[in-house]
Amino acid sequence: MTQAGVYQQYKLSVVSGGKITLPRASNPSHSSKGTACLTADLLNYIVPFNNQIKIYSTETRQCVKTLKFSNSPQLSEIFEKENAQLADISLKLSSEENDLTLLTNDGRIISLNYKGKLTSNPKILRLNLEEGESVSKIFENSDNSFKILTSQIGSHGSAFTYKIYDLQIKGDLVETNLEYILDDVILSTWSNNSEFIACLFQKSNQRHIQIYSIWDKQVVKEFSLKSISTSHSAASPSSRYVSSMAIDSSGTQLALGFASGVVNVLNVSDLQGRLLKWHIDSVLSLGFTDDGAYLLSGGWEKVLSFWQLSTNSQQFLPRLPGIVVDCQSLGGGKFYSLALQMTQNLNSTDYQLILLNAADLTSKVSVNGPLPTFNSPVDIGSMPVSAVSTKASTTVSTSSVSKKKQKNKLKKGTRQDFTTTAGVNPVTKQIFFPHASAVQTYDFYKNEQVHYQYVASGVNNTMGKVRFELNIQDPVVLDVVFTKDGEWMITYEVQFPPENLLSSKDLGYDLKFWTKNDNETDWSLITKVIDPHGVNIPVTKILPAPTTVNDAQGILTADNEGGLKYWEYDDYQKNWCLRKLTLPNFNHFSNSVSLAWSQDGSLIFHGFDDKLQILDFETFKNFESSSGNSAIQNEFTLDSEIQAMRLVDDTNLVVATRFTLSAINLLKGTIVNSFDIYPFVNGVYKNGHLERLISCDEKTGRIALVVNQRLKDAQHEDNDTPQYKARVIVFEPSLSQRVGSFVHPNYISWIGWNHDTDFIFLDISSKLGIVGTTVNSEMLEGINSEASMETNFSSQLQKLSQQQGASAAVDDVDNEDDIALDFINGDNNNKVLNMNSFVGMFENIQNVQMDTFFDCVMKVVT
Amino acid sequence: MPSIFQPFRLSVLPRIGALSNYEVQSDYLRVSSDISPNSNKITIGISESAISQYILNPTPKLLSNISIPSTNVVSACDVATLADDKEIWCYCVKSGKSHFLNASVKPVDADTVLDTDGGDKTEDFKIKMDSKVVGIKIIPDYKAIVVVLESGLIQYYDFQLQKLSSLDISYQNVKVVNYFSENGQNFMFVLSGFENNKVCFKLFELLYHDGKRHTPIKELSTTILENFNLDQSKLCYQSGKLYQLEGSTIKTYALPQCHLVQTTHLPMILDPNSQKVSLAPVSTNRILLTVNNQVYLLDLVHSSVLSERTLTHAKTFQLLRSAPLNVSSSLKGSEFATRTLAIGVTTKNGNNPTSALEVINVDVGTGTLKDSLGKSFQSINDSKTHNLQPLFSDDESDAGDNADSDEVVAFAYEDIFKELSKNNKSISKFDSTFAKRLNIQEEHYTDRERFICDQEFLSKVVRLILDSFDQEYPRALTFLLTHPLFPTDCTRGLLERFRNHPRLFKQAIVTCPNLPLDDLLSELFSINNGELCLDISLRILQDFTTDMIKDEVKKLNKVDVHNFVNFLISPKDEELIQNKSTYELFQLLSLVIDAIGLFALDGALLQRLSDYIDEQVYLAERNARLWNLLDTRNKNRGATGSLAGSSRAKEQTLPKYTVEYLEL
Repeated sequence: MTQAGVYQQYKLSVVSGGKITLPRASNPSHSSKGTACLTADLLNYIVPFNNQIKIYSTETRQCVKTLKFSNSPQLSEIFEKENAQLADISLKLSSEENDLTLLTNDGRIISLNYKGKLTSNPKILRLNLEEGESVSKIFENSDNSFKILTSQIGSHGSAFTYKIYDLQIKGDLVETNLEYILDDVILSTWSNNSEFIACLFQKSNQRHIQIYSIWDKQVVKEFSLKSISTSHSAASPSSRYVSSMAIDSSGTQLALGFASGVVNVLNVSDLQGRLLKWHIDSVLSLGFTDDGAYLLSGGWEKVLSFWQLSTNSQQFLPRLPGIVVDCQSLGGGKFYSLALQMTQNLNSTDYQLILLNAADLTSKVSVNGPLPTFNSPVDIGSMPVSAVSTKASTTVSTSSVSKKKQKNKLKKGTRQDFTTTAGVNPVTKQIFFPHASAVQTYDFYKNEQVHYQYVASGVNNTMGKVRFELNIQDPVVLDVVFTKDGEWMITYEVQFPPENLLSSKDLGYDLKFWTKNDNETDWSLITKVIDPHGVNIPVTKILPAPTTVNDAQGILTADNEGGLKYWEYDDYQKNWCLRKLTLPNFNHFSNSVSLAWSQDGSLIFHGFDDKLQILDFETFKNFESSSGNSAIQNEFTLDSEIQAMRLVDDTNLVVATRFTLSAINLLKGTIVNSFDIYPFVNGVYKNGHLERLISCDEKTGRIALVVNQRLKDAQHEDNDTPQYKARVIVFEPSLSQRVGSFVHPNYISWIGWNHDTDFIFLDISSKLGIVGTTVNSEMLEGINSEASMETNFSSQLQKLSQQQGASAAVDDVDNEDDIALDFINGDNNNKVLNMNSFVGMFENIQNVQMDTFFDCVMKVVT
Repeated sequence: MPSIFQPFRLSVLPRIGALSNYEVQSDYLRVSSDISPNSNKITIGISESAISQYILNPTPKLLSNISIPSTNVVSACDVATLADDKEIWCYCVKSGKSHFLNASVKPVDADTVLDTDGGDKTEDFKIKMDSKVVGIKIIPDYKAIVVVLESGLIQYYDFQLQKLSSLDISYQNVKVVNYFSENGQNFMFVLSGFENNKVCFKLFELLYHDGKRHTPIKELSTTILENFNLDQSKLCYQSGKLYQLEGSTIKTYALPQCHLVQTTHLPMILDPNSQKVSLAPVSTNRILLTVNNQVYLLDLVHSSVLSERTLTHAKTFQLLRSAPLNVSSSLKGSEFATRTLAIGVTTKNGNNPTSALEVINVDVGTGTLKDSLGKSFQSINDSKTHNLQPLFSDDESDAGDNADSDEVVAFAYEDIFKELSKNNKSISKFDSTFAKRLNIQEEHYTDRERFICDQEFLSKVVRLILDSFDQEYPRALTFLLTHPLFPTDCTRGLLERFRNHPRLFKQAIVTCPNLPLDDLLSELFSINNGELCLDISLRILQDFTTDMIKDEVKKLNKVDVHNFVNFLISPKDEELIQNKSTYELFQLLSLVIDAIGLFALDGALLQRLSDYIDEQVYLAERNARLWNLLDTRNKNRGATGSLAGSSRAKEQTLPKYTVEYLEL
């Protein structure tokens, strides 16, 4: 069989995605975490990501500019190769207009123009810092003088040493003068106008608070925390644990938030405080407005609270999408910038930034990246402090322990399964990430979240969980699948019964079918199936039907006992119904379940453990050949558990087991090509998760496989977190040839086909990349415009006929008079030459010899 | 399911030399295009004899006939039914050097068989044509006859053979004309050859002739195909695809642009020069191919032979026309009929051959992968042995890539097999060769041995062992039994063979894949060893679904089943009691009883069975009560007070009884 076609060259590039960074969130001593800032004209909101800086217009709420690190060689060197972290952003440090200055934790000062093209090379300066010292914050004054705050982890635990330097930049020279040093800082905050810094620190086993005026270079006040403590010593530790702090611009008011939920607002001059009680769990963020009249506070409740300090009256902004870890007033009090953390995702830290207009609190810019849920924790981000210790929170005592534990696990574990799952809508090409009990819709081409919808009912959806509620496990969406026509979204979720019951281990599984009209944003639930495969039996794989079965409105589900069920939408019932099923095998369980369906819908391939069975879809039983003359195998046993299967074209089934990646030629019934993948796969992924790293372009049948490798030599010290690299290999359908092999410098957790010509992948830092033939590094425009080439013969014919009809109509007008005379004789002397005459020739001009072409032209002309 | 049925005879052809000459047969016999998969009438223009209409059911016989002079050659023929119970026959004959187009309109009367020509109701028309007519199509809706002349003219005539319109396609030498309709529109394409093996393809839409248009024939596309030998090719058209068979390769062109999409080699055509080949479309992507007296039903998308049949009574069989089924490729197609028919001519052996018209019924199947599975006609045995390939080639893998992987090993399987065959007399020699050449370190399969993956080789070695050794087997067999790719074709009868080798028997039951269910069951029912009994039952329950087990038990001997039930419920031997997992056996018992039916057992056995079950139920009830007494909640309440660092969480109140102490 030969395929006429142009050989396509694949390329790999990282184009979008990314994660919002809160640089100071990793340092527990900083109470103020956000670095997002507004430009001086208040028109642009600058948000740092781990792979780019995005600038949003505050008026149109859209992203107006993206500064991708990968587009500039220097920036990609700094941020991607050397793994520098962004520490702070300053708009004043550079004298040029429209210049943005980025500070990295290792002391680099990078100035770049944010309005022009990134082609102009950024200016890079470097500070001299001690080993372990990292930049935290730049303070700037109205007379353009600058100070830099650095922090260094102290000898014990979570205390830090703070240093403030005076910063002078003269041309290419950077001068720093140490002005202030404070040891054992536990928590710190600074005022909005960069005048004051307040630090909670440890001095001879007592906790003290010091307020320092940055520009006056003097300590304004120092007092012991005990002196203001109103609670007696018998109270719980959380009522003594300061979880956040804020100081107002005049340095007269200091707010302390406690883990118990109490906020103490101190008058600095006389140390008289008053208690603001509303929060039930830890106060995670505090911020004064510029005039000091209001205090903003936020915590686990997902509610932003405004305290009018003069009257003690309170206002709320409820139903935020995440717990409030940072709140500050920006732009002279015209905006509030909130950083929210979505703690429902335990395996990576997901932040969302929201910019609120202070006047009405409604109009807002909301920024986040793709929100994948990895199989196991990928980064050692800190979970916020709560009164109780759970997976999603830390307490006073457990904060440092859990982090270390996590680090060890990452370092030593052989299983490095950070895969995630996602679904691509075949029509809109948007990517859908299951995110705890919600599904996030992310547009790869626009590089924006399009929608975030809760699809499972949980406590978390409308309000934050506090204290013991944190122990309640919300339902988790495990999989999102789309029917081939893009009309239906199928979600599969697991529900956890309350703990400490006999039934605690009886998980509930739900299969939900959603549809959506074009003009709606929310998907609406049509059918919900509780325990689709019986009580306590999980669904291990969901496969959408090919377009030839019930117009693609069907799915196949498989469980871990070998049972299969076929569901389809019934137009009469207006519901999804179970149509066919096979009985499970009650004595054999395996999570290595994979499915494939032939494109004509006639056969189902069911991989269960190490057996591959072929089922006839019509009878839903094991395939039996009718002719019976040649015993056709309906069952293959492979060398090990089947991890993934893809039917690439009409003949080849690509099967990945723990040992090999092989192509089975179904017509011949033999294995044609196999590759050894054992060293890269065995023991690395959970059973069935290799499926997420294999994708098939269903148009060309090409297969993309991701191999993740841990870099051994990059890990110099024992303490380093492991580094990974990934390879994407693209194969021809029968695995006979490799079309391409690409290296990506990070662990890839998911790869999928975009229902066009490309593969999209996601790495563990939430960056989205593309392996494809239409790579364009500045890919902002959707490529959705051109519909796929018509493959249906009759519609093609129809089109052609109509086209010709249109042109014929033109002819008719001209020649009306002559018709009567000529048509009977069949003369074609009056053949009209127009632009349509030659169209036919150009439609298949490829590979035509010159003289043939000349012939064609002559035939038309004469 | 796709199949070709035995053909039946329509009529014996007159003994005219040309009609039995394979080369010209198809030019001399022109079948009207009005046949459909379920049509009951076929009209054939038989040169030098007559235009004859046959009825197929209930018995094939001649229905009506128009005789033509014995010098006339029919070059095209078509028949259509008109609205008012009339039928129009239109055909073109070559008489001497002139060509005449004939049309006759006559009433259809089902009752009158063999209505002779020249009846008073018949209207006949005849005109002389400028050139040979290569195609006639009657379009009753348009009230028009579309005629294509070899000289490149497409003409419309009315039923009185008045010319309505004409179009010169500007290519001479039109050889092939094909009409088809899609979505109620009529189309036609012509192929005309010109110098240098070039062929011009033109696609037209045929419109209703209303006198207003300049011409009712609309040209949709033109393509020049190169290296296309029209004279030596056999062509057929089916739903948007044009198939060209030249030699033993079949090329598929996709309309409307007629571009080449696929080239397939047909291995059944061994010698294109001497073999008599013909082809006809039957359904989407499926064609009938005849090679001498063999008929094949081919699926060209999957390159598979769906069905084949040899016509023993004839020397050659040539297809003349078929009625293609137009089925969409979706599964819904299976709801419609899949039967169609094709008409051909068989020629018998002998010096003075006779030919006959025969109709062959074909079930075309669904055209899906299901029908083609494992039926590929492309050569299966590539001699290349099957070895694992490394994922990264050497030149691009930098240090870290393959460092942690084993060296990918490629074995020369043929050499190894030869060496093994030489050593098939001595067990120790065989074993050492086996271990050395295949680099086997353990006696069982480990992930290092994943490189031994050629199933053909494994199959050959197993057969070699089984053939060469009888009393004692080499250790290599133990290894092979642990190999997950143990060849399926060697498993049948394996257990019976190992009956006297308990070690191998147990090994096979525990690790050997693909053991057939009936073997396992018959072993299970005849065995008296408790441990092995348990192993087999575990194996059965793990590998097979309950339905499969039930079906298989039904086929077994009743006596065996009785023995088995007896064995399970009788006071059992010690081993079985000690093995606590009698659950599997119990489950199997219930399956067996399900399968044979409770009342197939005799009274005494039933009584004992009932006692046995009562006992089990009693045990289960007692255990359930004891279970309720236990405080299994040994987990403390969540994270209560963990903030306070209270030690309460660590104190676990141990229940007084644990399950382990209970006798089950």
